[in-house]
Amino acid sequence: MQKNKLSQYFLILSIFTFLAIFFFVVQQSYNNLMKASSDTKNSPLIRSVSPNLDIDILDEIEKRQETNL
Amino acid sequence: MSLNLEITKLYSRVSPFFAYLEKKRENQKLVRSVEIGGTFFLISFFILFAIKPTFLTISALVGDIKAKEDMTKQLKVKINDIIQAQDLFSQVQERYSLVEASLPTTPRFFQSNLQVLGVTTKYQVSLDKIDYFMKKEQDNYSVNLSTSTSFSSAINVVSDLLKNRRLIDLDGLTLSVNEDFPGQINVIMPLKVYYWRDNAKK
Repeated sequence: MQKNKLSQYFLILSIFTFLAIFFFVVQQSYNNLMKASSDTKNSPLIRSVSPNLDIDILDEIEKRQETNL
Repeated sequence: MSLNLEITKLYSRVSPFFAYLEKKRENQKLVRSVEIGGTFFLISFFILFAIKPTFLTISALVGDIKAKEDMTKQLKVKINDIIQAQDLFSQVQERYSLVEASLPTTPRFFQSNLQVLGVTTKYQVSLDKIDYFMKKEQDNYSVNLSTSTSFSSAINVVSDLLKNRRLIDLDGLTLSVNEDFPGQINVIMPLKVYYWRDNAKK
């Protein structure tokens, strides 16, 4: 009877160990997969540059007077 | 009575056999449990030492490839944006002096001083005092003007300074009656003169 109980514990323990290791490996793999993407997203190299130049503001500046002595 | 005795004898003969069968069945169950448990342990061991490094390497490589592909796409967009920006800049390059006159890359005290004096001279306002204050890590410096003049001249000076090409902001305006000269008021104008600071460029 004692042996039977022990064998049941052994079985449960082995199943949980298997599940824990399986999910650990899956999680680590997913982390590895996503890490490179997140590093790239935060890279200053890919910070976007806006090509839009507000040319109207130059006309506005031109309208302003420059006072001289 | 004799039948009961017979049954008891028979039972006593058969019961060890039943006990043996029961024990054997339990043993078989135990062996099966140990076999299944051992299999799971072995699979876990295999996952930990064989599958895990392989999967980690593969996932890292796939992640790298995806990240590089994304980066290539984004860099292509950025290069196109830079080319567009360069084209636009070349179109307005000859008007860059306007920007420099409005928001110079250096404080250009002389230019701002010239602007202020030009405006005050235009309305015949003589300045009693000009104070300059410059703080570190700021994109502007303060110029405090103190004068005694007529109200209309003071308003004209303020108006012209705010419309000046050089970016000048009026930080406040203090007006008080000049008791010594009737019709004149004491004016204190704290101005902020802006420039394009080096750190701001970054």
